[in-house]
Amino acid sequence: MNAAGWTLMILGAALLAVAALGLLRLPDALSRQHAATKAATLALGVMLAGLALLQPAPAWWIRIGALVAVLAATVPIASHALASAAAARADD
Amino acid sequence: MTVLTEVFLGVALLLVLEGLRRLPGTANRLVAVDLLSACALAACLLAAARSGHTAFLDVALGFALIAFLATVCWAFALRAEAQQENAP
Repeated sequence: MNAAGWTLMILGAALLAVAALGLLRLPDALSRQHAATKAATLALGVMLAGLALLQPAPAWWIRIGALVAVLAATVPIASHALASAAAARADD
Repeated sequence: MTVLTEVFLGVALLLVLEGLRRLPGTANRLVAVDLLSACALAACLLAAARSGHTAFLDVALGFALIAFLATVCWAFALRAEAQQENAP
């Protein structure tokens, strides 16, 4: 249980590093936000799953569930707003 | 082995800060700031895992909401400005 939880935490942090690498490597703002927001959502989800394995108690699971719900509701909206801003300012 | 989490998180933070320094234009910087807030959320989760206190998850919840509001407000402001510039 412990090893699996920490494996998921490490995997999530590595995914975040890949998202940051995508921010540096991709050519324009639209594709940069595509790399950043989606990979970051996956990374945080994987880290939360690892945390749920590390701390098997209802007090943790309630908060983890709330965080997953908040992230799943807000990140796509923020990503859409970022994309529309990037598309409107395609020149810079 | 679990220290790898901190290592990867530090690499991600350094890459995001380098992006913030190097990338041109406001829209790119806004994307970098959004990714920076994702890094801060990951740091909150890591602190919760290390210390065993659920309080860090409450902090992460509040921070996720504030980061969402900030990103959406800045993105709408940027878009409104761009539309004003494009209009004659």
